[in-house]
Amino acid sequence: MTSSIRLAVILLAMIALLALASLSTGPTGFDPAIWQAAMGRTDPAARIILTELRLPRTLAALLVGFALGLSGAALQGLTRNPLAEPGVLGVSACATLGATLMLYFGIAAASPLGVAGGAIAGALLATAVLAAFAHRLTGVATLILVGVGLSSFAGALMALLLNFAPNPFSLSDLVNWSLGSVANRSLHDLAYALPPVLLGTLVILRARSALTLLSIGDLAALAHGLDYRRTRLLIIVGTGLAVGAAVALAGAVGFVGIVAPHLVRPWVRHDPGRALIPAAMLGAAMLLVADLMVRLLPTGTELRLGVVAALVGAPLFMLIAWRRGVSAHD
Amino acid sequence: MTDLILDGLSVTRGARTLLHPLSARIGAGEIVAVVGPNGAGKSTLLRAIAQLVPIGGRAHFGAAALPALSPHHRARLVGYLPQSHQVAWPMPVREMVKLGFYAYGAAGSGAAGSADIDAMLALCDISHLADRSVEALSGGELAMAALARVLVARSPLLLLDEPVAALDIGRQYQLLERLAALAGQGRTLLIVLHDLGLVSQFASRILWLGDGHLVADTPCNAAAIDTHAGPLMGRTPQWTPDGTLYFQR
Repeated sequence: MTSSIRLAVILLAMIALLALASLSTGPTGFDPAIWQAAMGRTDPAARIILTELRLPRTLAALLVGFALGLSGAALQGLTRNPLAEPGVLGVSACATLGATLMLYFGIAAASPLGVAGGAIAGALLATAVLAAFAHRLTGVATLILVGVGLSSFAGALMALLLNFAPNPFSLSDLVNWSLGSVANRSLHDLAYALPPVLLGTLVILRARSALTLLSIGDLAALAHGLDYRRTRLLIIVGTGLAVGAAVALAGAVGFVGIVAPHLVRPWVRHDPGRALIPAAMLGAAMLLVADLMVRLLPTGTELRLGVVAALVGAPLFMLIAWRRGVSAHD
Repeated sequence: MTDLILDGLSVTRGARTLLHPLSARIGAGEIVAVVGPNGAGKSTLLRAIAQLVPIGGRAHFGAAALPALSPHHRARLVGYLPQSHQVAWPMPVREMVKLGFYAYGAAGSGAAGSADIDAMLALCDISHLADRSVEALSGGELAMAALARVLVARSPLLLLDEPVAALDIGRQYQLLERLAALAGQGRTLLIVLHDLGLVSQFASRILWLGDGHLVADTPCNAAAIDTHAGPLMGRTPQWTPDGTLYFQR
């Protein structure tokens, strides 16, 4: 069995187990008895809890993690930087801003596609700005700085919206959005997010071999026949769609996109093209774990998914940056 | 015959001309050294032929107008080795060399592709490094791995920017001998070289560049080196009685 197939099998098994655990977990903790109740038809509420509360929540965590892991791997391949990620580069922040604008101006209430459209537009705009910089800049550190700037700017505009929020309810809506969560999602919400994520995945996979070729630098890759403009466009559109839909479904959830590709890379011989799907699968598994933690940790108020992801992901981000710095000085 | 024909080839960036219009015709199987001081436009000339920078004028390889070709088609005809080598991820050497097949789609994944990779790793004398991470290579080894990657594409025209710069003397000779054998099989080579001693032994012709101009296009012989090396390099070439070239201190 090759290492990629072994990895895919392990990840699939992991996702299946975690999804099962997620379906068996409620606000009061791990509750496997719900399966018996749902099957035995003795408790009609159990079936509703499973299919209308836990199933959408589990699928949402899976889909958002998949989209973020995939987008992180794609952006890292394009920028040739292991620290690139939708959150770090400001793509998630711009998507959140786009979604928030739709909420703020009431467009989200008028059309169910409003939030998704706003989030996807924000993500596409951010990725396009980044790709334009990536093409002109040689230093990847500068690109990260551009992303940080983009993220801060989107954050400032978010703060502005909070500042001008017309009432406490709007304020609470906006704050909740920026914390990230997959609780209380419906299968309808998933139906709006699934097509853009799937389309984004297909678009990104079209650039699979080009991402591998980009490993050797722009000039050498161009000489070997890379169509850089096409590759950039595929990654912009693909990550824009996937991250936009993920943010529309769950709000801002950071660091999954950086940690997942980092962990799978040694299994795929550090090939950024081959890392795409495993990174997406590990992203899905990671978000399922984070969403389980949200429910199982004994806190008075339920923790937000974005908060847990950042608490775990940010130290890992620093560790990767530190190790990269150390190896660069060797 | 598949000649490389440059007709008024030029490169400008903004208001600055990096390469003034130059014309040359290079035949199949020729080894042409591109010689000149730093900043003369040698790398720019190679990049212009490889269509890696926007060009003015014409560049044809046989019947094909190079700027009109698709990236894949062009990459099958023209192999280009940049001066510096970088690999963003610590991939194994073999995987990096395999990227040379990119313009051929899935062709590199079969047994024939694998045999080609083995052959080019051997030609570049790095077979023993095939499974090593590129991160663990020395500068010279990485340069050889990059060259192997360029060579697996089997392009009939090879543009090599200082391929021996990071190599020890023995390997410089060994590599140039093997490249000369490729030229013997009909492949055309344009090589940027600084060492005129090596140029005098391996090239059939010299394109002398200075300040973005093609100063001269000469056969490779002592008279041409005597005439052009001094003014361009600021050092007068000298020859020992046995014909070895050196520059006076």
